[in-house]
Amino acid sequence: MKARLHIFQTIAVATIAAAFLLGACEMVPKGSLWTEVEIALELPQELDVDLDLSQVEIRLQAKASPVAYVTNPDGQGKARIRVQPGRYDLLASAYYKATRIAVNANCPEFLLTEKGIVGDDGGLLPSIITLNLEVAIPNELVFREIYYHGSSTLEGASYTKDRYLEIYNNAGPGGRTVTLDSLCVSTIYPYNSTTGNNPWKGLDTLALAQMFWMFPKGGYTLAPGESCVVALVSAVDHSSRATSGLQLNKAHFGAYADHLSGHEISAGVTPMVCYMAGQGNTWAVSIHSPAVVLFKPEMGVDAYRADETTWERYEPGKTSGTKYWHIAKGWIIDGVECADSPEQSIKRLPASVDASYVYMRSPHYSGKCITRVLEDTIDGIRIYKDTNNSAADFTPDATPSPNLKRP
Amino acid sequence: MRRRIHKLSGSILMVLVSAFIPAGAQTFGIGNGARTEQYLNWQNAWFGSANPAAISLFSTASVSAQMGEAVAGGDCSFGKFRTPYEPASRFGANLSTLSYIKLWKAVAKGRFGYGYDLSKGSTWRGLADPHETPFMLADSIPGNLSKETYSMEAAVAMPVGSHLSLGLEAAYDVALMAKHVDLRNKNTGMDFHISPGIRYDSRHFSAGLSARYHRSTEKIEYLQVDESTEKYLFEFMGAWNFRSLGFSSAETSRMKIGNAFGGSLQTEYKSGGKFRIFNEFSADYLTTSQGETGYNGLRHGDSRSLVIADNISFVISPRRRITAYWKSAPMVGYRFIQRQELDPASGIRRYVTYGSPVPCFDRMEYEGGLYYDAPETCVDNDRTFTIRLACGLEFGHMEEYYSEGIVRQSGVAYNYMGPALKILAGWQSQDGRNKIDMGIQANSNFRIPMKKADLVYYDEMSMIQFTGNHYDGELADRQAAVMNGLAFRAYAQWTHQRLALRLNGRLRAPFKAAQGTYTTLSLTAAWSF
Repeated sequence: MKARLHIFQTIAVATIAAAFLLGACEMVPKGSLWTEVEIALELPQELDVDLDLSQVEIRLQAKASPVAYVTNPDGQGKARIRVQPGRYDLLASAYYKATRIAVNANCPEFLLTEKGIVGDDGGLLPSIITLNLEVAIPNELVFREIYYHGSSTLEGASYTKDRYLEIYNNAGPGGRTVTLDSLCVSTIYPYNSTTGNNPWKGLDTLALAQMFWMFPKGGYTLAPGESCVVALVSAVDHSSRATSGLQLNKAHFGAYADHLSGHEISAGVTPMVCYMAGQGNTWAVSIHSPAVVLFKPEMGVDAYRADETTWERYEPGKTSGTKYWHIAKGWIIDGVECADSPEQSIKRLPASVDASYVYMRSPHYSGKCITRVLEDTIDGIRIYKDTNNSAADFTPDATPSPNLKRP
Repeated sequence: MRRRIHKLSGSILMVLVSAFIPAGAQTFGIGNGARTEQYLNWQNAWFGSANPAAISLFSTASVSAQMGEAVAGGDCSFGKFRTPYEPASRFGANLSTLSYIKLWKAVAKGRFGYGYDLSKGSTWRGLADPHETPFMLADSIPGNLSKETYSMEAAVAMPVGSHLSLGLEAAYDVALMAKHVDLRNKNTGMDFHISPGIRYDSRHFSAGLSARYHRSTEKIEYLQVDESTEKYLFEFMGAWNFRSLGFSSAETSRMKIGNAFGGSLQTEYKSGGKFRIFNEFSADYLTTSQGETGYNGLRHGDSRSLVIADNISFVISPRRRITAYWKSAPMVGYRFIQRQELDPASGIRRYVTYGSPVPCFDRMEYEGGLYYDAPETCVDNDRTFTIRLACGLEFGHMEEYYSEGIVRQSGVAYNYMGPALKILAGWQSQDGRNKIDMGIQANSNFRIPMKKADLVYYDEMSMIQFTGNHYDGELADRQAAVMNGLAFRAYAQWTHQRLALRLNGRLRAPFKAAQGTYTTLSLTAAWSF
């Protein structure tokens, strides 16, 4: 009896003690796994101006969580950032106002593990990234404003027919008058920034999404300080239809073609010329993340369209399925990468066109747009910021203010 | 041997149907009134343990060959003082049946249940159990939410020799949940549980050991019917940190898979009289994994949790117990580093995982209590009227953090402690055919504020920027606020021979009256056999 009680007491005490001890231990580790990445910036050798590299902002954007790490390098352009392993975009950018020089560089999405960066072949590379800064050359023609979010009807339903973009001659006083003939506007495939991957990442050619529109021959020009508004679907007066109240019947150009149902045009608006690069009966510009480009094929649009063998191809890595019309990145005059949100976004435009992306904080159908930042006004002519970095060049969530034709 | 196996398989078949077939005319010998599992628990603490071998004690706990009950009930809840997961109002109905049956030397148990709930004004309910994992898709638009559950359980135990008994238990539950307003989620869940156990019994000492495996799956699909306006889907990453995406651009379906391995150790000392000490120590390792429902390999987050618990009961008499329990449940959540790659063989793009899973969430939760307790059917057989008091003390702690590398964002954090008081009264008629039991219970929880770190910078050289909607402090505060206040429960039960009718009411109220209350009422009818 006494021996049994002794055994029971031992077991009972051991059991209760084990309960408290095990509960006090960290049986499930809660430490945070982190790693370091080294970044080295290098200026172009041909640049003959001394730039302070410590003014360059380095931004490491996480792709799986809404977090970015921002820092500046030392004077030699070196920085170390301690971060959690994950998927990241890396952007380095700076604008030197005194010399009006902008530099950009980016590293497309990469995987950073606790042991290093994952290479294209799945192997591990050291966590050291060297970025060659490129000097951003300002463009004569730029997108001044892009309204893609849409608004709502007076009854509260979504409305997307009142969307437009505005092209501006940003050459400034003494700049060149530019002809619009044969210039083209389109969006780049994939349609949305939230698509899982971009098969054209790192390539010199980009795929056009669905269709592109050409300014008609007719001697249309833009002098410095002048702009033209292009209605994307309906060049009509929307003031009785939608909360945006946009009078796109005063737009300069309209994306209109007889075979596209849903497109409308008013008298006095010049129709653009439609070239199909896919299928559909409406121009499907993404309402949350289009990558918009202004380009001109170097051989001319007619010769470009005639050369199907070179420019109409399958998606990279595939030999069947949908064929896409491609353009060379060197043909792009201006481009803006609009993203739905920084994380989970793929990069469609090369860094030489747009080093980063701009994203709206307001919800879809909010009636807001992105508008380029005004940098200066000289002799009454506005000059907008153009560093080939849309995150710095554009203000999101702006109220649309297109420069429409005056009656 | 063949005869024993034949009897055992026959027993299992009997168990599966026993829950549906009422017993014969044998009556319950001890006392009058409805027989419940709670009554068996008060007869012997082993019935409340996780060891299926313990049901062999039914042979000694009951003089009848079969005992069971069929129950039908309805309940409703409403009020403002609630967590973000609780609806503005809820109506439910349920049917269940439970049976214990002696089969030669073995004892079998069967249970079947069906429940239907309709909630109104439900939000943030992306999972059937939102606390199971920190990763969840949810939406903020209030709407009706319906939920159907089916549950089945079968267990059998039989003695082996004069001291040992073996037991086996299996349970299978199915839950279907659907929201009726955009964004509308449809959840299909399955829960399977199996547990073997062994028990040793001697005159003064008993011990038992049981193991268990639990597997659950839940498929979540979001749908938008009215496409005239954009709706937003929220992807939660733990501690009320989230990312919102327009529905058209979001991942809208998931599969959650859970596994749990665990076991329990029971020990009991019997004095030979009424005094007993029963202790059960349990440990369970739980994992959940979420990924896309298709075959693209996209993973949304895993969680790991180790739950340790101990319950000890000092049985003073059949109607008096001192019980103490303590449970610790830390959890860690992980996300994966993945990228989409083209499989050259199939031409399909799949997500490939690299590196180790990255911890991004941790929760520390523990709770405990000490009670001097009495059963709710409290009237003694040799008395007309009985009144009893019961009391206790409860305490708990919960804190959650979302981690993004060098930053640790606090979510919910609180301690609570409070007393519980119960007054029980019972009356029975002279002939013992009618009984009335009533009780009232009051709990108060005082939330002890914790120093909540908002954003903690461990490295001054790097600056963190949150680039999207990321933390809803209001929802976190609402979840914690419910832990600060009073809870009242009152019940009245009338028993006439085999029939029992019970009315139950609960009221949850804050210390500040302006926050409203939350009330739950239920009416249950039970038929004993």
